[in-house]
Amino acid sequence: MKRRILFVDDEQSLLDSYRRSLRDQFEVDFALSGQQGLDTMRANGPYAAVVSDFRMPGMDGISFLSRAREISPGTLRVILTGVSGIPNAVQAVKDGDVYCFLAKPCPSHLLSELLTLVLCLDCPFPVQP
Amino acid sequence: MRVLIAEDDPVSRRQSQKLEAIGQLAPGVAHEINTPMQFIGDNVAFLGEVWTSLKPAIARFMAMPQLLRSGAAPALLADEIGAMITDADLEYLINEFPRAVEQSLEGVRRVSKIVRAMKDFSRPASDQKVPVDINAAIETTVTVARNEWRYVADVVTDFDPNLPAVVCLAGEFNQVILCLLVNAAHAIKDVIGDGSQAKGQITITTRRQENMAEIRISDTGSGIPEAMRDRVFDPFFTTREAGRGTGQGPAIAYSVVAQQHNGKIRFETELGKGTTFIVQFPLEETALDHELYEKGLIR
Repeated sequence: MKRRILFVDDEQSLLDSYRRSLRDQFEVDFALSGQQGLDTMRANGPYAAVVSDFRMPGMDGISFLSRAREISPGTLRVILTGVSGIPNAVQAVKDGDVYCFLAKPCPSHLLSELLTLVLCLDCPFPVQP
Repeated sequence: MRVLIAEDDPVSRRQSQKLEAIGQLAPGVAHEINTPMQFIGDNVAFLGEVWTSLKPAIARFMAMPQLLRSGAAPALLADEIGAMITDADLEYLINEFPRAVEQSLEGVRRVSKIVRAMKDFSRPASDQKVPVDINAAIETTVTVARNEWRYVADVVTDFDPNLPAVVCLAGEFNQVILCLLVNAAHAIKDVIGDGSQAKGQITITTRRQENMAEIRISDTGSGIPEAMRDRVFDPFFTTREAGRGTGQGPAIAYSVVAQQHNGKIRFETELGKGTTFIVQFPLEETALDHELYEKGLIR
């Protein structure tokens, strides 16, 4: 059975590219905003992982992930963003309790390998992208 | 009467302001490029995989004439074709393939646009006033600064297509637009807060007002409180906390418009509605005059 993953990003083109790249490995759902992401989690959850952009109109990635944690604490939280920088990563870990902070562009095969790896929940080691 | 800093060196100050602006825009520009690069890369990888999955189907297709000639039963042929369609996932590809190409091309166009805008925006500083198509210059600045406004507002432009060129310092003109655009985005950000509310709007219009080219930049922010209105154009006056922009936009715009170009700058504001900055550049020195001047025919 494929693992279910929710992607949240305000770029439709980007979501479409994830859908194409990952459909063989995962069952993927999409949301164009943090609010839509939360609604999707409530309606269609639980997801094994949720991958969110950092900066989005409306709710930002950190607020979204910290609320996502309330809805589904067991869902793995990942940030995939074009905005890098250590302060952002620290904030993400602190406020969003994210497991991974990935920088765009991140080739889909890496993303897929990483998700596969971190979703082996027995794996006790933090994974570096 | 406004007080200027003694021994102000306008050339080096302008250069450093411009470098500062580009430095502040750089992370946003990187983000604007990285996002399309992400999906272009993924899409091209997808197209590569599609080719791999199509190859066996194509080989079977090429064997079809042979099958037909050998008198294979229609039912067998139909099965073979059906299997090809399923194995290669043609039903899926028929929609996804062109979309992947189309979205990748759109991404490439977006990257080219922002790179071109960045190049136009950061042209080497010049002390020469030159005729500038200000509609195009505003478009460039809006593109370069997209990451500064796109999360809080939509930008709507309404340009006068018959506006004559404005003879000005091109880099400084861009700086004015950038300052007021970022200022407008910040004003809206203060209103929409963490973004639980809908995006605001920034409207930029250009018009000819007699012998002036007029640019209006309006935001749907909260307006400027009465107590602060007298100090909007004062250097060193800011309502921004550290790290949230300099708040110096209007002051920089003032120095460029009024002091370097004999133009005018003012604002209209209404609490709860928003603010409009109105900038006017003189048109007397038209592009034509400038050309004659360059040729030494007039002085």
